[in-house]
Amino acid sequence: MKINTRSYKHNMSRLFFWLLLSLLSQNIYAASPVPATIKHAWIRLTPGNGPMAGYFEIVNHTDHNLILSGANSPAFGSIMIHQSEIHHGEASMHAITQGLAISAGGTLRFSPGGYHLMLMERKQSFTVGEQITITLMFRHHPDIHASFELKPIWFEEERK
Amino acid sequence: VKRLGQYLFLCLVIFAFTGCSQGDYKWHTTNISGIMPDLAFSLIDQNGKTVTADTYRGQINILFFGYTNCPDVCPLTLAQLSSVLRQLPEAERKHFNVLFVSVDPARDKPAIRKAYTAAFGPEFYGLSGTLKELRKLNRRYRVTFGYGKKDAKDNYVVSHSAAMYIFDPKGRARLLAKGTESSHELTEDFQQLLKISVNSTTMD
Repeated sequence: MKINTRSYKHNMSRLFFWLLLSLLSQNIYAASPVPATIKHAWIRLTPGNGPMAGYFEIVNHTDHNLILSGANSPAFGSIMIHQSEIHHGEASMHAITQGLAISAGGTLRFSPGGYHLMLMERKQSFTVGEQITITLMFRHHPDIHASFELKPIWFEEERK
Repeated sequence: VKRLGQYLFLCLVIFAFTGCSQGDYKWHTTNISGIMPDLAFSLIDQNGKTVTADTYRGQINILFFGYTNCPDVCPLTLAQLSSVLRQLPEAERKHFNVLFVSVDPARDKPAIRKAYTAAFGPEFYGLSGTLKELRKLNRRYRVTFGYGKKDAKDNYVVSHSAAMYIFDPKGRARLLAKGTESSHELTEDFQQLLKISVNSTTMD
């Protein structure tokens, strides 16, 4: 009997837990279990210890804006979302700190000269061809672990 | 009559602009012959040696300002130059130099510039110098550079000109590429400039 009471309580708390979770996660699983896919992910390998840039294409499968809020990887001490700009012939870049929206069903490209992941503080050595996992974080959605291929410094993406 | 005068004047202006040197040639980049000054500088190369524009005279020199902690725009431009040069026949490629001038001498020591430029090819040189010399050279080509605020880890962003300045073997400014040209367009312009340079009588 004791056992039954305990299991009843246990079941109730479990039910409560699942109810709470389903309430909290209503938006998460409503549309699609996979909120986005990552394609053509690569890193330009530069000599030395300076920051490198990561590029990829992200397709939003949901019916609402998806907010990319940040990224991390054990291979780097810090990763930021950056955007390069050429203003009056002068190149500069700045950090995107408030998250980056990918429109419903839309595609956002991180490509040279535009958005890129600024990969700072290398925690390991790298070689061309190697795959590095970077975790992309989204607001109100689960993380996506994406595999980035290291490309040589002179690598050129087809310009679109 | 006043109208006609204005019309003739307009024709003259158009003629003056289109009919100057290299006028018979079409370029994808901007023709800056006679507009920008000759190549002149005193800098330190990737081996720590003092170099001047004379060191590189006799070659077509492509000047580009940047810094090695620049992970995005600088390698994009240099990678494009590298692939454009790589696709030229050896007999043509040997006439070109790329002078990468770092405007971040505090971090870009010669050894760092050497490793960085070597990765793009043997035609790439990694120059830098004192802030005074770098400012002088930037001013000469009507551009500037600047440093962003340092973060907690002493990292900072450098803003710099995105353009490439192309000089003929006599050190005269010829072309300005904005950095938005396709590889095909750069190839055509480089080959045309080389053709003119070989037959140097047409250049004077």
